Amino acid sequence: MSIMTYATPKALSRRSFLQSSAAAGAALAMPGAAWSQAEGQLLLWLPGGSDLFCKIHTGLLDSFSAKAGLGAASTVCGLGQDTEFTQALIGSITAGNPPDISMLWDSPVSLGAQGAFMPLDEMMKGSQIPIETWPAGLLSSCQFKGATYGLPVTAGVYSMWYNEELFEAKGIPSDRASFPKTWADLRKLSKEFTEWDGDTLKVAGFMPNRVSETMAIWSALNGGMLFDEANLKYVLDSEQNIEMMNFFVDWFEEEYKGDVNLIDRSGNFRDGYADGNTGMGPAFREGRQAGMQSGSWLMGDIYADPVPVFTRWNLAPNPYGPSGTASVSGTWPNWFVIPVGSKNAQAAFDYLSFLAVEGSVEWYQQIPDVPTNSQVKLKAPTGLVENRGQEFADDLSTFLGTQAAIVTPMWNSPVQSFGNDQVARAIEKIYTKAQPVKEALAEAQAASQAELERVLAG
Amino acid sequence: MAILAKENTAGASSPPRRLGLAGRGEARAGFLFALPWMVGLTVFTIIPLLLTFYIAQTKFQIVGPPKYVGLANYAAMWIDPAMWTSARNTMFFAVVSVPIKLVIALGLALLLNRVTALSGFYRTVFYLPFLMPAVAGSIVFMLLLTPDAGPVNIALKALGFSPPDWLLDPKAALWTIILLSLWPLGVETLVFLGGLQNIPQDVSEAADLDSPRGWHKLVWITIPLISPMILFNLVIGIIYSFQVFTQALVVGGTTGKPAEATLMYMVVLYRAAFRYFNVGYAAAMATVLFVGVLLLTLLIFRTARSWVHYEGDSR
Amino acid sequence: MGAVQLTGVRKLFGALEVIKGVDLSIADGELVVFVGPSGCGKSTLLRMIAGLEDVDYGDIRIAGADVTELAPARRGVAMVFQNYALYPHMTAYDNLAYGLRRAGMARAEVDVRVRDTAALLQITELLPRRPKAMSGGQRQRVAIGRAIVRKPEVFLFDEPLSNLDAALRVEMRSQIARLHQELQATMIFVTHDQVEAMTLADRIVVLNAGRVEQVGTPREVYHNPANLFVAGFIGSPAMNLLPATVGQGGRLTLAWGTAVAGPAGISGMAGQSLTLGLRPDRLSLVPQAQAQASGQVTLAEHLGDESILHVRLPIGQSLTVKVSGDVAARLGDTVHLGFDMTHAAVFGADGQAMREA
Repeated sequence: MSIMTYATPKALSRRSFLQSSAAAGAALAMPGAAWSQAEGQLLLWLPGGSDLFCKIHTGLLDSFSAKAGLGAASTVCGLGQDTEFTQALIGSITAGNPPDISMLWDSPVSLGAQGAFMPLDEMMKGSQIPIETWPAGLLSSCQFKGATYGLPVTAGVYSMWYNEELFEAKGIPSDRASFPKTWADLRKLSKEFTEWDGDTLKVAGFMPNRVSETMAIWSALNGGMLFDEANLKYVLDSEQNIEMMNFFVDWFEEEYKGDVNLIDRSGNFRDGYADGNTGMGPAFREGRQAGMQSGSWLMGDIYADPVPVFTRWNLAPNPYGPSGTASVSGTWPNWFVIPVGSKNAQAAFDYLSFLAVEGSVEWYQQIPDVPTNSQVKLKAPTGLVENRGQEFADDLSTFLGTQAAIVTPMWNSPVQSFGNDQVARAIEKIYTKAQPVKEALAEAQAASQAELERVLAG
Repeated sequence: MAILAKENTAGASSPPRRLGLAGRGEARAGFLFALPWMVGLTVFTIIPLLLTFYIAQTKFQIVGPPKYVGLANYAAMWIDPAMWTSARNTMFFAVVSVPIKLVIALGLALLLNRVTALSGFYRTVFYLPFLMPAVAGSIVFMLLLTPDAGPVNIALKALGFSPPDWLLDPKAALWTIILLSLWPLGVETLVFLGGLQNIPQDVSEAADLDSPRGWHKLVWITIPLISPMILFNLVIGIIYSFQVFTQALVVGGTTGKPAEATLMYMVVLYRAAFRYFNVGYAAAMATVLFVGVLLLTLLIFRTARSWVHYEGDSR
Repeated sequence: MGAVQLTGVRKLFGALEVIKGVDLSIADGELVVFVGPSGCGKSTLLRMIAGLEDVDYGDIRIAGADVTELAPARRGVAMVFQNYALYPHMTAYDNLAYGLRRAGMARAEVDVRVRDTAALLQITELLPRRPKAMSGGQRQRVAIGRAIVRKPEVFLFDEPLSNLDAALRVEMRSQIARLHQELQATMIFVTHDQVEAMTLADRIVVLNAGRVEQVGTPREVYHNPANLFVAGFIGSPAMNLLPATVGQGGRLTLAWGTAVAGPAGISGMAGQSLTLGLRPDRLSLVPQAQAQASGQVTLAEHLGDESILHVRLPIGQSLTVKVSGDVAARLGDTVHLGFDMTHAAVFGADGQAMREA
């Protein structure tokens, strides 16, 4: 057995941010004087991220402030382990002392709909970034009843990552074009790699999805959806979704002994980051997983600790399910909002214009969160160029561009977190066989719909 | 007796005592000294408490005004499976963890009470974990308890046991949280130790002369004599155990992984307020918890009359 | 059956030796009092017999059995503590019954034993009360009851009366004496109060600095103190100790030149220095012509039927004199003293008593 363990990364990763929201031991930790805003000086809050992430944003805000003739700006990179970000942000807003700009890693719709963030529609009219320069599917994650409460300035784009070296070792073509197009093909391919040693999963192929945040993508890949935005209705237990989960369960039974505990005991096969709870390293980067679905931000981190044991990885479009007809992609955006009570609302909006069009180019070069505004002229990520060459980097950039164009709407429910938790609960019940697929989805559906109606009732 | 009676008559016939100028000034000073505390109590405890009762009867989405909805939040609680699951988990946690914790703390205190050399050192060592943030402590334990690669399971396997998946197995996870909660028991131990050191040495020796068995003395003499400390630790322990939060959130996130096995009442309350922005519901949960813990505490105090012995008590 | 035998018993606290080798035999049914100044080790010695302190060297036998390594409760001893040490959370009844119950005695038998003991000590009406609701004397009676009820081989009393007021102390003292008569049990009683020691003891053990200075009946230690320490310690007011020189013909010459008849056996020691010990009641006021010493009264303690006079001689020596209460000597009066040499003690230069004539 050679499972490596890694200490929890100091900076919050996106997934851990949403999953456990750090640990909110402290109540509303009111930001002190150093963090309070002042007129003519921009104050930006970030929910977390690596040191590099913080450095990029501090640099961008400072250079903008200098050019625009504003006072010295300040950037707060996460509020520390013991302070829950959303809690602190809401606290600052209700106290009338919020930052001018805040990045969010959760949909701004819920809080926007409650009046916590400024609607940006008026300012967008006639600005550098009018509404038509944003992909509608993405912008919908910020919109509620016709008002836009934030901007998805960049977005991590979800696609399939795979280990070319593992493919080639098995004599399987590793080019993108040959990557499976359907779930059935993916499942067939996966079996080639999966290797058990007793009850220990040594190497895995691909795995049926267990992540709640990306379930909307898989549902769309099977021609379905989780939340019907047009009709303001949850559809968690639709035919397509039941079919999807049954497909996953069947696959899981056949290839993975039907036991999540065996998998989780064998390693972290869920995503590309070390598991904060168990310290187990990502199986994909350890060369123990043929491929997985992941967001594009991993490109910025994959050469950092823990360094993958292989160099040649590649991306491919998400395959579609039995009831699906074509590949779609999904995103985890970096949303930006201007909280109600900002003392420099116009300057804050100007910064967002700058960030969306020019600033995001530099951001993408260092950490490949894909800029979403249509006016952006992308340059390939520098880390990628250094490690894999200009040609590969350009190719991936183009690929991510095409993926960003086929993004399915997600993060768009006014009760996003509630719905997500219900999906997570259903997934867990289904995979641990505590509840049959249909029943679990129906329960999640009923709860989410009831919460939605309660909130919408005004 | 005669002298006493005489004194009493004298006391009764003397004019009633009035606050002189100096006395009134003293009263004012006393009031002023108490004022900061009273203001703090009002602003930070009483007003929030009353506000919570009120908000529990509103729909309040954190931003914007609350809207009165009567008992709707309580009705929603009644049919919320997450509330019931978490209440069940929390109850189990309290019922199991508090007695275990008290027994271990008492055992430690009994040991520390015998230690003469380095007693200060040991006391500090046992108290230190209390000063460590619960988040950090929980994370360390989670790393220790990692299946396969975790040092605990490696050690258990080396000793020939087949250890559980502490945090992955729904059947084990709640026990793991109980285990985590046992870790910082310095305060309980110190309280017990204080009680033990208050037992007069000769009473303890009298018990040694009455029976040669150590457990006789423990059960019939020592434990009754530290019963006020047991009551204190029990009440505080129950109040805190119903509010178990940090360990549960770190281990199970907001969904009580795995399979809601670690979903605690405070986690459901917390996520309602700060994740679902349903503050009215969270306030209703808080009110129910408040009333429930209050009743439980009163019940314990009621039973305490029969088993707690106070030093000044002559009954 | 309740004899206590100590052989070469020593106790060290760190490097400090507090009991320096004690050999002692206490007969069955005897009431022995350990007496000595504070810090002499009397309580420690008692606690060693009880088993509350470890014995570092030597051994202790009770009723013939070696109990040196036995737990206190297995030694067949019962102890009454200075602060009563009643279990505060139990009624008097339960305090008495506790040891019996723990020993597995049947409920009915416990009841009989407790009630009999209570009747003996006249504490029946206290049985339902807790210690907090009792006076000091009542508590002490209950504490004695707790010791008696177990019918031990040996009773140990650790200064049990020192927290009581004077009247109560006298009453309790006689009650203990009566108990001893009725129970005919071995008792060891520790006190710093020599009146208690004298009135209660069959034999007194005088301890000083971890050593036994003398063992004897109250009469023996009073009239024939084995050494200067015992002479100075036993008796109140204390014995007058007068430096003297052996003169010709077995007479003793006192510091101020007066010569008195010495005890037999010193005639061959002419020229040697000795100490003459005279109890205050052996001194009396006499006409000036018969006086063996004269001095000024520096303190007169009138106790009613008798008075204690402190008299300073011109050479600076102080004498204590016990006289009848009728004597009207006052502060500053000059008095003339005569010596009655009956029971006079003589100590050699080494402090040990010399055989009386």
